[in-house]
Amino acid sequence: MKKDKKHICRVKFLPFEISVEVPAGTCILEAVQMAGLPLKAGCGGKGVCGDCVVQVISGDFYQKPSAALPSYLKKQGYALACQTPINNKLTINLPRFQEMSIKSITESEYFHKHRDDISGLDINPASKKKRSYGLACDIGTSTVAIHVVELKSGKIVGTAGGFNQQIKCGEDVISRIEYARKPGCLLELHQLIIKTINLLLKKALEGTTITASEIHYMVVSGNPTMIHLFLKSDPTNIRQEPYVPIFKREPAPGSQDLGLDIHPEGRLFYAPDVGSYVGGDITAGLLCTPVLRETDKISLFIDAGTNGELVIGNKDWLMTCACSVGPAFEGSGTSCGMPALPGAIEKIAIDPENNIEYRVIGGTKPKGVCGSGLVDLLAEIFFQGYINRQGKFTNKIKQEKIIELEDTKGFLIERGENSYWGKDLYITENDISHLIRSKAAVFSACSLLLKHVGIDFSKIHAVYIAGGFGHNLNLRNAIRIGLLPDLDEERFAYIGNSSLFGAYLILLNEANRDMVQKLAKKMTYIDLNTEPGYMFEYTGALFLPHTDLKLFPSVEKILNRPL
Amino acid sequence: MTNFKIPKEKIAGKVTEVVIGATSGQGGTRSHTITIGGSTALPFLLFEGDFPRPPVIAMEVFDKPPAKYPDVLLEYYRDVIGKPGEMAKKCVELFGAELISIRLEGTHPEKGNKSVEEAVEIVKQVLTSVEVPIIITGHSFFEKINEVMKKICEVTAGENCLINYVETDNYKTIAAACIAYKHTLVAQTPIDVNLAKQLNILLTEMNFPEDKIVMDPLTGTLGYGLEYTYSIIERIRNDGLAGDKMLGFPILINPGYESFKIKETRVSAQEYPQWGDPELRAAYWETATAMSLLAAGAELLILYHPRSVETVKQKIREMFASGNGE
Amino acid sequence: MAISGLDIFKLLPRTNCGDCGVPTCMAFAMKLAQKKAELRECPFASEEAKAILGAAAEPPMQLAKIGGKSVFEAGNETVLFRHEKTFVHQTGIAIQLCSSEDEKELLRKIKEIEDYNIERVGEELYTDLFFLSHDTEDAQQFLKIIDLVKQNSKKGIILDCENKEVLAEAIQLLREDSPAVLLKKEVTEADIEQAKVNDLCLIITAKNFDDLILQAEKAKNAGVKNLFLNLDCDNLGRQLQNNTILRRAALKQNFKLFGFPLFSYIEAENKDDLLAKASFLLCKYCSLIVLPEYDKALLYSLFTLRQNIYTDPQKPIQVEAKVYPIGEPTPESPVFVTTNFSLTYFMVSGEIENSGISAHLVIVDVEGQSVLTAWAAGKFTGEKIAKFVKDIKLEEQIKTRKIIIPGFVAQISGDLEEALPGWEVIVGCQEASDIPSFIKNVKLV
Repeated sequence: MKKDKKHICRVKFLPFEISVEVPAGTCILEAVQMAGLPLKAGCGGKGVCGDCVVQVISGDFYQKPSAALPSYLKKQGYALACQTPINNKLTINLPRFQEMSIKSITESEYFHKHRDDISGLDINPASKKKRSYGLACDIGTSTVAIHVVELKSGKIVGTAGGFNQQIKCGEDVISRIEYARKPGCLLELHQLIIKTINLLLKKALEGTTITASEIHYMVVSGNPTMIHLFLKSDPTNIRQEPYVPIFKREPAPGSQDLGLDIHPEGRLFYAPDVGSYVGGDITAGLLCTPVLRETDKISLFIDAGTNGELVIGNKDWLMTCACSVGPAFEGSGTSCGMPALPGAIEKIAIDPENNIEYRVIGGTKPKGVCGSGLVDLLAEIFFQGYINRQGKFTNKIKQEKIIELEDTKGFLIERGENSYWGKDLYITENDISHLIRSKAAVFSACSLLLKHVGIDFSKIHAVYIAGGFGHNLNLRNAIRIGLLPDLDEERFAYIGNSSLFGAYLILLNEANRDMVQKLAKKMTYIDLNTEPGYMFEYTGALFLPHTDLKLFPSVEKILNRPL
Repeated sequence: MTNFKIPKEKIAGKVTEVVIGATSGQGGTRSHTITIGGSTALPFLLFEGDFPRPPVIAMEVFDKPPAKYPDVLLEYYRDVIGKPGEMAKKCVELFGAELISIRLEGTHPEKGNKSVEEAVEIVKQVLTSVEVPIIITGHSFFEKINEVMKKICEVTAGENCLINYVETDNYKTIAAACIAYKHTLVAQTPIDVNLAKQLNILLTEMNFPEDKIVMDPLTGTLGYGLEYTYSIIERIRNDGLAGDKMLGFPILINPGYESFKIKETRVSAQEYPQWGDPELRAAYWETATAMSLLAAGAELLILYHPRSVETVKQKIREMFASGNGE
Repeated sequence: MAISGLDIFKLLPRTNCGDCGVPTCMAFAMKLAQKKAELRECPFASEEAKAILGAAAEPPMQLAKIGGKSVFEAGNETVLFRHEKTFVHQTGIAIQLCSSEDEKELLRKIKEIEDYNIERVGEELYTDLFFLSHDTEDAQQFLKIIDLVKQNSKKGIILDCENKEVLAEAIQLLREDSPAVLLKKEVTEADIEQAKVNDLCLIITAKNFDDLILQAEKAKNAGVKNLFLNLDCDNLGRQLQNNTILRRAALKQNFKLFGFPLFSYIEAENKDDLLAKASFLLCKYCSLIVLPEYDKALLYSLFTLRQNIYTDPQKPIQVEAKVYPIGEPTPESPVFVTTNFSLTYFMVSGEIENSGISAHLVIVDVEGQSVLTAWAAGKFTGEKIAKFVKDIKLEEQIKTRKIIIPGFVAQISGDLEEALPGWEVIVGCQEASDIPSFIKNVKLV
């Protein structure tokens, strides 16, 4: 496309609030790349794959016709970024990163069920002001979630969630640590997270009469890398041995020093970290698990995000470890994967006549499949015999359900004509292998942790799960694919965002603040990479549900195949 | 008299019995069959289990002499190295090989690219030269070896050859051919207990007969990963005997192929005087590899050096005659 | 026999005071379970804990020592299979010399054996002891060998002499050296007394298990614990069975009288037979073997086998990080890089050699991990490789500016090129066995 350097146009990308100025004629795809934002473009800009769909919120534009985008979407302002030149000022929404609407934790099923066991519903006596508010903030590697809380009553008065703008500097923790080593980049990463939080704060307070400066107390929880960057502290410490938790080294600075929009003298507390990869998000999360903390029954806590963290223990002892799960269950790295946002298939079932039924968040046509949907899908195609224990397609799949792709095959979930973007939704053998590797990482971390302590799964009383699967996780299917151990379903509880929940609890009660510090002190961190037997556990878990079927007796029973 | 009771492990599983070869009454042309496996306790512990038969030794011939075939071996095979039929005869009649493996590395596109027909010819040659059961050994160039093995399975139908090998990334074609033409199969995996078990599960899931599977956990020779193979075999044997059926198959090892690729069996005394006489070194290196892996649990050994064959056979006989008293 | 970390934890004070040097009691319990710490490091351990853990900490098999200027140790084994944890002491190899041999020949042998020291993957490999047999009528000849060994070697000595007077004299000669004595007949009080007075290691020979029990009991009750057990046997299979039974009894049944390391004098028809038997027994529970004859090839093979079997499975062997020349490389030869895991080094260098070219093989220190593991742990990155290349001043020695990386870590090529300006990164094949083909088909310089 011909560019006109004399005519400069300004393009703003939501929800990042990032703008770039480009010569007229530059296509949107290029502008996105100039802004340092990610946008998939499978066919490399030829206008045939439909990956680079964006939504133009304001400004005039003309896009070249393309079969890859259904006309009903064109009418709603969607365009293929690679086929659309910029000739005016535009505001563009990047759909993959559309605004998240997060549920308030007080509306969650878990909160209602465990309200009474979880301590901390007393009011914070410290606030003297008539209207005093607190901010609970969970800084995740990919997403940030906040609750604004009226301290007197504990009521959640504002909620917002969004993507961590640091993403453009690196998708995962390691790449961000590496990025921070370059000159000026630590400051850049720091400012990006502060910006993210301030923006979310603004959003959360929209429609209320509350101003940010009325927030006098903020509790932050996140993994060690996120906290380092939040505090503008060099994260390369994390990759060095031995890692001394930042909580032991650095007190929380004032909110003013960090550039936060809350009251300049607002108190800041961050949940303590324990090891290089086990941070305040986990210690705070443990506040939600009363059985684990307070009884002598041994329980397990799993926070399965891109990095999985596990805690096992009881009131006397706690052991924790981290493993690299990968992004497959969070919605990236697979053909049809997406985060748990409106448009995501969150539940799938395949009936005996091989019809696929699913439920989409928001009830629209499906855009993709989120973590909980992927767990369902994998379990269902395994049980229908469409894939073998290795995850490879079998002959049982009907011809019409197979899609031929360039260098691989896919199993069809939904035809393009019934999907939101007009593209077929499918899962490939490669995708399945990513999912199996992710679930193997989680399960092998569990089994290794138990072996290290010297107990077997039958001794586990309760299993708490947190993570980005979505609002639901079908536990039976998670067991069927070998993601979670084979225990009675009543022993499991899905918490949701335990990190945010824990931050909220700390906000409400000083006692929780003391408790989280005690918990951190009690935790022993083990490094799985140096554990002998790690590879053995991992390779064992690379089968569905596992190489050793005896670990999954309930699955063994249902599998009607020769063993 | 003391009260010492000999600590015996309880028998909880066994190694399956696998038959290789077929006589004329069974559809083949071998003079006898060879069976491996069947033991119910750890290697050679005659006092606590059943050991119906000793491990066996095979030797190997080639469709194309290996590029770096060492001098120490040429001493024995110079006259027959290019003639697999005759080499097979020599191995059986002179050196005591109980089976013959025909290695078809020459069919690898980058190592000779011999055709399927040529491979078949060689196999037929060997089949008519000796009457012992036959192993057909391939390589990992999937497209080509699948073609070769499919044809050979067909042409040798009835002989119950040991088809060596399939791996996790390439097993369906060859396994199907083995099922169709009733051959036995080696499942090869890279030194990992779980991966070995997984391949066996995949094979049995496609209804491959359980009494026709032999495992090859990949042999690291002495000094080049031996201890990994050693421990994997011990673990497989322990788990199999503890009742894990997917690990209870007999094990094949390749001290010959692996030992004669490395420096230690090939360099001269001038280059490395501290390593001793090359002829002895070559034999000892292979023997040490073979003996240690026998101790771990191997049942079918493919050896190259006649001295190792003789020594190892003798030791096997000796251990099998040890009885089960004190 | 081993107590789990959790059970140990229950015996500790559980205050997480940190005085033991570890932040939590649970972490300390784990270290105790792995035998990486001792209970006395906890200032607040209870008497009950001390009693229970003390008993569990006692090794099921004793330690035996044979002196000399370099002490040889054996025993303290805790497992039947190396993969359960690791073997503790590698099998000792002793070479036999007889008093009937010609003195000049003896001296030559002693010097040859003393000097025979081979390096493999950064470890020195050598024989451990001399087994001196008195097989003539002339006592002087026996004393002469002892003298020759003492003068020309630092290795310890095992005395094999049935004549009690000559033996006593020999022991006198070695009174500061704590040798071992092979008892071919039933151990007597006199033997025991002599052992105690002269700090000897005794090798007890028995005909069967019951005989062995009686003798071991005798020695043990008299306070002699520096023992080897030798169950007479001429059949390799029988010996395997005996060894297995003895070790099982010690380790699994806590049968203390069999809790000693095992000895074997290997009778063989010829050297092939000797090598075969020695290999087998080295794997299966013999802590000390005697070779009646030897040659360099035999020793080198046995040394390598011993090194392989007795490495700690949990600690990968590493080779030194540096540039290794393969063949006769020139400054224009190709440059390969990989990790210092010994197996990786051997396989890659072997395959490059097999392909017939000369090259420089750069080995980077990643604490002995394989390529993929090291990369995942952040140890084998573009930056780390570049730093090593600079540290060893490779650019001053070599003109080539292309570097070939293992195929499995193709993703570091961008970072490596950035960190090594002026160099081009070539992504190699994934499997070592494909190296010869890769070399044939790809332009390397």
